[in-house]
Amino acid sequence: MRKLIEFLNRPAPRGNFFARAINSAPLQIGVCLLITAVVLVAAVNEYATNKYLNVGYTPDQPVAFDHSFHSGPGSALGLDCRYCHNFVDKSGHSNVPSTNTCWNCHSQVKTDSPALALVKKSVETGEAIRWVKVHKVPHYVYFNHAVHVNRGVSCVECHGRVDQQVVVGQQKSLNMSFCLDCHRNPEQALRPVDKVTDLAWKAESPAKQVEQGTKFVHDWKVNPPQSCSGCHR
Amino acid sequence: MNRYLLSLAVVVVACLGFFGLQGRVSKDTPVQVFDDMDLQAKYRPQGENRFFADGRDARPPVAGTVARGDDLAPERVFSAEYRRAESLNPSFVSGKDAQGAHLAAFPAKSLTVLPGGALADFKVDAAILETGRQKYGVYCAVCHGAAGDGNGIMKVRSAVEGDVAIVTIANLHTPLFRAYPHGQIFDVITNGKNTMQGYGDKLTPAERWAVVAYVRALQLSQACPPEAVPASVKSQTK
Repeated sequence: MRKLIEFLNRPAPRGNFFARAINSAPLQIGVCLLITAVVLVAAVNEYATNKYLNVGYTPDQPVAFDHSFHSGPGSALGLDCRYCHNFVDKSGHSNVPSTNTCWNCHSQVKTDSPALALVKKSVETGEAIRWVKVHKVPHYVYFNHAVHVNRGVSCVECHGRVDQQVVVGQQKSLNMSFCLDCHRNPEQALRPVDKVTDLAWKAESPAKQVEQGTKFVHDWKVNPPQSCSGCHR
Repeated sequence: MNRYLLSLAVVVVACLGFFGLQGRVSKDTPVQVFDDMDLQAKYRPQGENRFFADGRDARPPVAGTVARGDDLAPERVFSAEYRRAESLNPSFVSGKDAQGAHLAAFPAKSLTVLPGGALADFKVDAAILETGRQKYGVYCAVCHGAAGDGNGIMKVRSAVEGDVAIVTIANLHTPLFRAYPHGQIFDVITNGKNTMQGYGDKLTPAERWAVVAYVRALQLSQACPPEAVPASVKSQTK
């Protein structure tokens, strides 16, 4: 590079109007523009998508419910996801549980804990708790929980290991290519329906996953839509 | 050129320091880069709504209306003689007969309306028992235990936490609960009893009957007369 610049800036015949350094200016400007473009593309790729903007969003909730303590086979209580999110296999919307659900147990256990004061107030007055929504998709996206959960798509595919999270945060990008990756290759994600809420479950090997996933795709007639109207309306 | 590249490098390092990399944990509400129609003024499940006094999008069902998904045949729903399946077969949702006594047997008809308008039969078969097993495992085993003996995780935790009230968790194998008619178990699942809250909001009537069937199977499993055990199973027991 330095030699090239020296060559371009070599002594010129007398009477030249421009300074010699100008000879290499187009090259230098070109290199600078190229590097700037690469940096800009890298910056957009890193920062301008959900992978940066949404992943890691971990807001404080009004009641500090600890999933890692309550839910999943490996936790202290081992509650199934569906004990609280009980409409997930019946409805397009997976519900945040009503505070009555908390009170199934907490009317007996730790009833007067200050951490549960809001829940207690809600149960007594019927006033809703203003939970902060974590996994947001645009309102023109119609994701149906029930059809996924009932066809062997585990919670973990979109929500990650919630059973290990003390405070729930977004772990997957949930952007459109994320959805399409799976809609194009469903055999990579499908698992036995009774393992859907077992977030730690994995097939013995990637090859085994593809093998039984392909079988599920066939047996359950899984045909994930890739057209716009599959998810948007 | 060198000065320009140096300042670019400074900007890159500053960006990395300030914005971090993908996956960093943050409490800030995510930025919408292109927010066209991302947030629409429409009612969403469990959404917030300042218009209504209780602040919710979701409204309680108006009396006499049919919830979306309850019945999907419009020509029947809008006919003059339409009756909701619940009113055709009230004992399926209450567990009681017309006189208010608990059903001793499983209801003969389900809530599924056949194309002709009649109700489909309700028969306890292997599929119903499997549904009951799953639902029992999710909702009931927490307290009553996988075997129905009342030693679920709630009893264990109540010992750990020092709360004593939980010792009232029922052991389903006692003579009292064995003598319950099917309809009374259904009633308890639906409406709760003593410290148990009702699960009528979580399980559909058909799922509750499936749990009743599974509870009966559990009770049988713990007090099975020897002659009722198939020979193939008997040879494995000691």
